[in-house]
Amino acid sequence: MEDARTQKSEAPPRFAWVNRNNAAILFAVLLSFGIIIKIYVSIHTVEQKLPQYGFLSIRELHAQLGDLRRLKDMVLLSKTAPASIEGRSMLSEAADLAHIRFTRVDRSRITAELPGYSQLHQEIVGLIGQIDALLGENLPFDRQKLEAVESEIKITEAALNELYFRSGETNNAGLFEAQQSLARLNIEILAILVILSSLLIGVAVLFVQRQRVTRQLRHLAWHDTVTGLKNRAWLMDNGQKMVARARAEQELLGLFIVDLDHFKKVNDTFGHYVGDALLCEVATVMTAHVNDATAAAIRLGGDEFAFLKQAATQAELAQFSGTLCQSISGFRTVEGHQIRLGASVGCSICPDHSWKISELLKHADMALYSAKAGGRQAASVYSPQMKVHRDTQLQTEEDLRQAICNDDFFLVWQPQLAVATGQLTGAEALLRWNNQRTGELVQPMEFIPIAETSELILEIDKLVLRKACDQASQWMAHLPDSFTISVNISGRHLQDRNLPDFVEDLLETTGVPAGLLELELTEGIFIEDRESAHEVLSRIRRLGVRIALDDFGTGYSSLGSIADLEIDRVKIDQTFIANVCDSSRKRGVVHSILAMCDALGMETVAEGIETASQFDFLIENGCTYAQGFFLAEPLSEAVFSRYFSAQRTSSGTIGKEQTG
Amino acid sequence: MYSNFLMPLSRLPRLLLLAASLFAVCTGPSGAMEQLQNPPSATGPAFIIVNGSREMQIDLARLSTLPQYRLVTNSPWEKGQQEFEGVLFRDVLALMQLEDADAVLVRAIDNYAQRIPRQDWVDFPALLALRSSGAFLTRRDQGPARLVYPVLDYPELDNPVHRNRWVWLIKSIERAK
Repeated sequence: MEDARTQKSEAPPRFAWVNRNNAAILFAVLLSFGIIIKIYVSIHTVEQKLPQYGFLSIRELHAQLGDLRRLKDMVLLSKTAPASIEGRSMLSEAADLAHIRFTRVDRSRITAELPGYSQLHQEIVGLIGQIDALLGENLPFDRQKLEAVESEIKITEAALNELYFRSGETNNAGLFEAQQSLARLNIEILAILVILSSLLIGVAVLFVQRQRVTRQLRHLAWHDTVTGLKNRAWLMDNGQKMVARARAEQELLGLFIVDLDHFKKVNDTFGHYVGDALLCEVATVMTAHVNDATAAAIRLGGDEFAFLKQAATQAELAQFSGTLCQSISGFRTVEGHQIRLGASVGCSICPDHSWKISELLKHADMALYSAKAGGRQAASVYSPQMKVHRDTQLQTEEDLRQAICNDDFFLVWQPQLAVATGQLTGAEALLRWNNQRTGELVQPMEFIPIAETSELILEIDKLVLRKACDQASQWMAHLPDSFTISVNISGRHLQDRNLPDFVEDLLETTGVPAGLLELELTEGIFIEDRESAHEVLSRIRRLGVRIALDDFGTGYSSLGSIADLEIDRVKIDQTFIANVCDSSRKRGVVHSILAMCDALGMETVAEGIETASQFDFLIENGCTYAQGFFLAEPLSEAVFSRYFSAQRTSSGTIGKEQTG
Repeated sequence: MYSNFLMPLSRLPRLLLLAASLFAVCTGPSGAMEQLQNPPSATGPAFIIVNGSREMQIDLARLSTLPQYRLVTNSPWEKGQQEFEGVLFRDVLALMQLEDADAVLVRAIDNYAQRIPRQDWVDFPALLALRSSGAFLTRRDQGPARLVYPVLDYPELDNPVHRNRWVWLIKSIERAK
């Protein structure tokens, strides 16, 4: 199959040059050759048919014939009245006239080409000589001589007459045929003109159409169909020209990348139709900023726009990036929906950052990234530090990817105790990364935020879940009743509808009962996408897995939303616990959280217990569980395993003194 | 009115002729017209001039009394440059008071006739040639009198209409109707 295909593509088609264009050119060339040959042949035919003798010669012959007849008449007159002086003078006149005409015609060579004319001329000259001799004699004329002259004139006249009619007829026949050939030639020329002009019109029409199609294609290729703005291809083709122009005018060129915040949500909520309308709104705003040829608005794709602007100073460009951001952000009414639109702008400047459009795009993208990281609806201009920051991030991501492959992660366990009894009731799995490249042990705080910007967090979370469940299955035999293994899960999982299936599979393969596992989630996720989060959470809970709300109190979730969520435990953030002894107000907050959870039937876990007085406060206020350095440091698996083994022989509390 | 207007113009050719003849003394014949000082004379009938009912036989002796001119010019009827000698057509017409006629009819022996308009003898020095190459024209040489035009000096006369006005074998001159 593969062989056959390559063979086919290698062998050239037999008549590769016979395509439509070449055939048309060939046809036109052959046609013009044919036309030239045909016209040449036709003109040649007309030339062949043209009269053989000049028209003037025929006319002269006619006049000469008249002169000869007049001479004959005068001779006849003299014969009837040989003694008349008047007759003699008339004969003399006729002879003079004939002499003059014949001499002039002979000198002009008009009739020279007529066959037999020169011989005829000699005869006439002789004839006039005879008459001159007669006129020289005395009257009356000699009758016999007159008769001789008369008969000779008759013979000559007959010969001239014969010549006149013969050449006249030849000329007439030629003329008729030439006329017919000319008529044919006229028709041919007419037909050729029609063919050529229709060809010309056809070519003109094709040319005009081609021009129009070319213009349309260029517009299509260089413009975005939704918004009518220029597109990325235009930027790539013409961006460098803008750079050259700015350079020639010794000005700066700013490249701004505009990204709409949460545009995907608009599309999901209101549909693509509204999304497109919103994009058009943004395009209108951006077009309003295009004042002359030194600025251009471009849609790069999706919700990403770009803007090119020439300016004299960096400050002007920085100011403009803010203006751009402000003018796009705000409330808009599209199709009856009030939509709040936010935009982030990243800017890079030519020649400060690069001469090349592709580089400028990259830098502006980086600036945009940092603008988004610093809180949305902001504008920022590229600086080299961004690149360093971004590079380290990229490096970390790469290292993480490597670490997932090599399994450079391990877990430590933070014990959780029941506040009332001091019994060990659970452990939170904490991730540690042994970075092979640097040889350092990395804390989650340093790499989890970076992992959360990409899909890596999903991989890492699954890895932690798997490790935790594996460990739990090993410990299962020794675990006390109602023990909990807590695992932190990123909020991004709640947009991933596969998580419940993954957890179910994991529990089945490891044999860990669902009641043993607890997933800890931060409250931030419930703001992002409530509906889908609700659905995923309830599916997980149906498996029997418990859900805890991590870092409670730091986010922005309303108390009302906690009541709606199906949550088993609330973990009070350590920032509240840290100040609980110094500030009466913090005490009040913690007290009220504990009271609220009690009222809602939720258990509470206090994080970060570091002193005895903090622990005492929690005991007083009825907190259910606690964890922290005062109670126990995070322990390795080995220590935990040993503890559980010892537990079988003698029950006791796990504490600092024992592990130290 | 028409003639009054043209009268000053009509003098111009004469002045030109004078200037040309003075010039010709120094340079010899070269296309221009020149007046002859001692013309040869001849006898014999030439043609008839008719003015209304009056009719006059003109002979060569009578013509010899008029001012004689030499004209070197091309001819539409002969090859090469021709040299003619003779009298001005307007001088001949003056013999029978025909010079103020609108046009005259010049008729040849074979009854070939041409209508010569007044303009031809007022604006141009049309010549009635009597001699060619020094010899008097005979009837064999299209004589004895032949109307010729100075085509070389006045190229506007070289056209098919004027070409036909070169009447030879002149039999009579009469006032045209």
